[in-house]
Amino acid sequence: MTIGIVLAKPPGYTETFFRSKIKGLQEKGFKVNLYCQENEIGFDLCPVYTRPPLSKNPALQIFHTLFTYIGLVGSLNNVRRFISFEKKEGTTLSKILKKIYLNSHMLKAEVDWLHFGFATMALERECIAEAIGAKMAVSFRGFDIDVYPLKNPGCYQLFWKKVDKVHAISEYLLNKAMHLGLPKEKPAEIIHPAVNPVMLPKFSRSRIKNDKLKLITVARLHWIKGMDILIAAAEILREKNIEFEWLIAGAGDKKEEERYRFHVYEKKLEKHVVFLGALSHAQTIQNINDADIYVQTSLSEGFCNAVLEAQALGKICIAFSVGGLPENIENEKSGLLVDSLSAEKLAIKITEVLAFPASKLSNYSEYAVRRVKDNFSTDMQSTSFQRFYE
Amino acid sequence: MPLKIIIFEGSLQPPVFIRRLMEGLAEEGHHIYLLHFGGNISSSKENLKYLSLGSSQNNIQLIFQSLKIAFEYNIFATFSTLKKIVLGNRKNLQKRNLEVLLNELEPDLIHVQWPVLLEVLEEVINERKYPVVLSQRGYQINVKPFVNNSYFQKLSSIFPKLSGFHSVSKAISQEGDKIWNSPAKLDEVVYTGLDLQSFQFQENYSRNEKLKLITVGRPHWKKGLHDAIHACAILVKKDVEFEITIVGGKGNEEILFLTNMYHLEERVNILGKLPQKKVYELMTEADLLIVSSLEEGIPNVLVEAMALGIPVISTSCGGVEELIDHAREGWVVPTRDPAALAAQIEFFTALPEGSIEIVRRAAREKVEEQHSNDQMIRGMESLYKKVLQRSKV
Repeated sequence: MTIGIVLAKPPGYTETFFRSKIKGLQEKGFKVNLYCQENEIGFDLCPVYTRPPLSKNPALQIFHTLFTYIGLVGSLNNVRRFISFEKKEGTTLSKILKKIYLNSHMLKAEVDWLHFGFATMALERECIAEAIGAKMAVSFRGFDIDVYPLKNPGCYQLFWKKVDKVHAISEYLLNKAMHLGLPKEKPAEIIHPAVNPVMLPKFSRSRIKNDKLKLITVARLHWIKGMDILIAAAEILREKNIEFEWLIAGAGDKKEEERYRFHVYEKKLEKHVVFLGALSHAQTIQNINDADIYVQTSLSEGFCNAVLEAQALGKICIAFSVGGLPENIENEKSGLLVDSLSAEKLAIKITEVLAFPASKLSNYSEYAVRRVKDNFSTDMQSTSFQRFYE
Repeated sequence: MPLKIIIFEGSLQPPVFIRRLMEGLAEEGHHIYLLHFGGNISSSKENLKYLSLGSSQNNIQLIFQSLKIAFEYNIFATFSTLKKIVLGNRKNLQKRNLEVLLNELEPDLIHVQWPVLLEVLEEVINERKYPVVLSQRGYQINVKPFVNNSYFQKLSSIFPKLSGFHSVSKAISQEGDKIWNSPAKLDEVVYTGLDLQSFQFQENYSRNEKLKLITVGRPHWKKGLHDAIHACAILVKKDVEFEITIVGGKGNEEILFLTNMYHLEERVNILGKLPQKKVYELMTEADLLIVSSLEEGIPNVLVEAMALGIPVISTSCGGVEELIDHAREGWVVPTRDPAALAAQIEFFTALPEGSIEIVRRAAREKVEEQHSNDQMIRGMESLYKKVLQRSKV
């Protein structure tokens, strides 16, 4: 069976979810193709098909267009079906021609499933799978469901009709999609992200033993990650005279980065809150391992891989009880959830953890490590995906 | 004596507070030239001219404008301009146009409106042929230098070479001093000016049963709109009846998300950018204007609302406390404190109308006294005069 996965660009080394999914499927005997806008990183785990080029030079663009249309001669039936489906949806001819050009690499595909890696990737491409005689699947991620539809109400209407099967990384996202109009009878499966134990260091630290408390958060510098709450909580910890350093692994666009740097500057927290910038996956894991407590301040999360990895390392995790995080952390067993988005409550929870006796900490740690191993392994993930397509 | 002043703003359509300054100076008989990177337009007044240094967006306009400047102002300069056109570096070509224009116009001084434009003027500043004055306002002075070290270094190396500074508030003047300070620094606070005749004070104000709030600001984090939404969520918990209009907030994903998260869709009305007139209209329909900003010079919208007689609650950002004495001309709350903002709004709902009336009138008086067009023009003329006296020495 051949699975075509549609992404904006091939997964980089830090995007463990798609890499492990592709490898897992290949091990189970599936053929996997990627359909992307570009392949600048030279991804080679599987064949990558890219969109034809877009040129600012009109003459060159005409040439590309002719060349691309000629290349579709072998897939004429697919194109014909595509045009008739799009016409039924009331798409204008010029828009159809544009869509044919932009999606020509997919219209030529010979796959059993066309799986869109994000729901937003499937917008304006709702008719392709049916036209090429493939089934259409989609994965929900946080942004697709949490933010995008707020800005574009009703954007998924056609998509809900056309999609054959849905994958969500958490029950939260699936429920929210149903709330947004996904019909309840559509086949859907929740497959959580997984942690590959090979990627984790052998010796993990589980106790709080740094002289100076070391907190870590892995997050892009983006409002949805609750960075302002993080900085406000750091201010409270300082007021409580706690010696600490709070590391933030992740980068953001310039405007957002300036926002949080300014907040830190304003509160004179430069010595307490440290921006590490973008790190490789291995460096991130190393930093989590060296820390005492992992904290996630997000306002919402589809699921959150970093929290899962921190638990796999036996790190005590604290997060807000929002989005998919209650499925990720088993409250008061594998980690701790804070029930409202409040810097005060978060700071209190951190100080509570500091007062935990060693035995309590290791109970959390052992439980978390075992729980990830038993429920969130890459083996289980690839078996689930095999079942998903069969 | 009328002066020849170059106002360097960058865009063809300067913000309204810069337009008011230019027009005011022109009315006083000064010759004002606005340098910008937009297309060509004809000027509205005899002694107020718009001069394009060549478009930053449109290469064809840039080339034509460069040739036009060379032909019109200095035919012998054409060769060098042609060379720059062939080399195809936009910034160099614009700098070349600036050089030609300055040589011909020989202004008394150059007034730069935004620090980011200092880079274009670097050579002019180094030559010290013309005095250069910088306006200190907004993000480029009170935020960026403190979160971007190389930008800070750059400003602190250019600032000593400038002839004078105009600060829109005392607070921002102090921020500027953190970048560079010296006993010899010439820095004057000149508050923004309003044409108060066109800001009619609302005589008949009465508070609605369901409180109508308004806030105005582009979707940038420094406007603190997220704190305004957090405050709204607190108000709902306190059973305060209200609705809020956010003018200019459209497209802000964070605001949409928070509104949805707190189930505030029925109460929050997010609008896009609107014409100034429409904004004033909406303001006069509101019971209370909120400023939730984290940093500002002095928010113009606050000055305007006070002139119109709309009660205001603002964070203590930037120079706000130079404009509002808490509970006298409006109410001031700490920045980044949604609970305090919500509490102040709740307090307002319980105020007797007579008390609001006193505050509204005090606010108008404060604006008349501190933000008249006249004080802005006099203040600026006085700064220019001092700069010129010094440059003669």
